Amino acid sequence: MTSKLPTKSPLDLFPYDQHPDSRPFGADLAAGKYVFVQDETAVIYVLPETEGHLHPRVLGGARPAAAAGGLTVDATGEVTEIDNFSGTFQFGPEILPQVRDALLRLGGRVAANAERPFTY
Amino acid sequence: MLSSALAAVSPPTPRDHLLIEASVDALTVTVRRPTGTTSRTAPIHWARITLCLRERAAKEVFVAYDGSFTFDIEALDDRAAGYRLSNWESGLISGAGYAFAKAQTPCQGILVSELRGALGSQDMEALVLAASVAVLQLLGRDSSIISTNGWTLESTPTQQAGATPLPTSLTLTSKTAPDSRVAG
Repeated sequence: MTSKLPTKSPLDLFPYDQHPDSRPFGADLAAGKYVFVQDETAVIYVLPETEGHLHPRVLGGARPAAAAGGLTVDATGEVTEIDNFSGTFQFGPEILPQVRDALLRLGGRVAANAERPFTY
Repeated sequence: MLSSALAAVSPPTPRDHLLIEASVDALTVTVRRPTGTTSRTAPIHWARITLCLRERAAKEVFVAYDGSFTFDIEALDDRAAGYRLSNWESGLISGAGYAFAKAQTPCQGILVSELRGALGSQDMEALVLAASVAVLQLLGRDSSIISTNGWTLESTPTQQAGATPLPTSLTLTSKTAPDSRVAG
């Protein structure tokens, strides 16, 4: 992809280090709940959801994001839920198709009814 | 107010905590970062929020503010000095949303009547922590699953003017009732 996605700055502007467990999404992702942030090149980084304020640490450095939320991977490796919940970035549900496309492009499988829109 | 709201006090649990069951409208949670061995002149980092749960339709806002809402956060660094309510609110959203998810309850909304403190830009986790604990306790869930990351935390049931709260049954865990401190 040559063109960059439009981005939005975090509302928590402290330049946290990137979390050591943050990694690009891939088909090998273990089952579980994750937070995700999509960067301007459409790559989706994921981090296991272990606490309540992880989005600023997914990319780190107060970097802007093209999308952010949470996703759930089941035991078969399929993404069964995608949401746009992130207090830090607060994207609307309009990002969900873009996230689905990116997950598929990155080798993932996404359930047909995975989208869980959230209103702030 | 707390004493009049107490419905029952059970014997100490194996964890040597007292369980106090009460029905409350709202909860005030105060978090402080211990100064430890830092300079006596260093500012104290703290925050206090008061909120209750509220029902909301699918497209209603997640965070609402009641008519008596008080917002007073002293910025402790230059970055925080540029923050507006929306920046600090992001911490409330993160914390409350996480708590609803952990409780596996439908994501309701919160009604906030107080947001005060003295915070630097690295202190957003204080609001995340306070909101997480407040929501879990108002849902009657165990808030000890939330990591305090060194912050001390105190919660107090209260009434909230203008609130139309959901019925809640609050369980406070306390090492020293009637003080309602929940974590060290």
